Amino acid sequence: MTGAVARRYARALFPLAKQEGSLEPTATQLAQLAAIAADESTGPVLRTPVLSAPRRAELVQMLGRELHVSELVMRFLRVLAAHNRLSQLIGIAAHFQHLLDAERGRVRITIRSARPLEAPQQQQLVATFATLTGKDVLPTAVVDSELLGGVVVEVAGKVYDGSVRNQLERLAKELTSLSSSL
Amino acid sequence: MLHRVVAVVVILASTAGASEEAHHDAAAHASGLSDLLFPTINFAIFMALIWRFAVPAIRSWVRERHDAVVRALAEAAAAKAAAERLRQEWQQRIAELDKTVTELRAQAQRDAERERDRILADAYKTAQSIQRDAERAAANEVRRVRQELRGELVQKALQLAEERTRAHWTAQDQQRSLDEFLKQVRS
Repeated sequence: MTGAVARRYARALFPLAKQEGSLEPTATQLAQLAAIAADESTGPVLRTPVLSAPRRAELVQMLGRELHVSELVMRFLRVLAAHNRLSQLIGIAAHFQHLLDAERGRVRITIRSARPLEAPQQQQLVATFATLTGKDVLPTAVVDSELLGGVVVEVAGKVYDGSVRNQLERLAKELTSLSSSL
Repeated sequence: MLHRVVAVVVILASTAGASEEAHHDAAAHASGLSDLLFPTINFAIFMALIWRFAVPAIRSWVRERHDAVVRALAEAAAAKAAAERLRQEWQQRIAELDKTVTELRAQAQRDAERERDRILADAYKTAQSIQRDAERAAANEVRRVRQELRGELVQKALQLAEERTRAHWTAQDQQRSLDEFLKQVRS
């Protein structure tokens, strides 16, 4: 869940990137920056509020150079550094990706299953959710053995839970409520 | 008052005695008439003084004494009457003592019976209340234990189902589950 500040910055950057025709590269570069911000070793340096503005500017300059980011993303990083908003990078990247997906008419889904799904099964899911959303579906598969069986699909913040774990928990709740009413 | 009268009489008597002494020599040879006259005058004066001063005092004392005696007699009569009334009252009470004792005994018995009934009724109410509380507590305890057992049973069933699913979940099960899931999503 991205915060309001991150969404505001992402919405500000998006039309500029679109105007330049660099939506996809900008999203990729932001994803790289977000990965660095999320990293346990480098993230705290970016997120720390104790660095002075010149030090933050130096830091983003170095970071941009190393990642070969575009001039637009470089300027954006300087703005974030000046306003001490580097800690919002992860949220900004996520919302920018969301805006890009919306622009391209596609939606990302996360498919969680107890065991890796076979390709036809994943295709079935993608086709179903493409029909449901009316958009192209970009799936991400995650294996979670705690689900026991079945699948859980997350689409734009909505969760469709068809896991055995969920069915067992519902059954347990029903049995408990049934026994307490006796 | 009486003392003053006596003092006056003594003074007059001594004065009269002194006068008689003074004239004793000069009149040693006076006649028998004069010998009788002066004592008579003295006596008359003495009596007059007595009449004048002593008699009213004596009369007043006697009157006061009479009044006191009369008052004392009246008080004694009143006390006697009161004592008589008290005696009669107590005689009546003694005469009614048996009846009073019988009434008191009957009253005490009635009070005791009433008190016994009240105590028994209270004890019965308390016993009923204790019984109700005990029954309620027992029912609650049974309900709680039953609930716990059911909860444990559900947990055990869940655990068993989880273990069996982990052990026996097949690709066909996954496909069937997926088909069911897609059906639900589409609907």
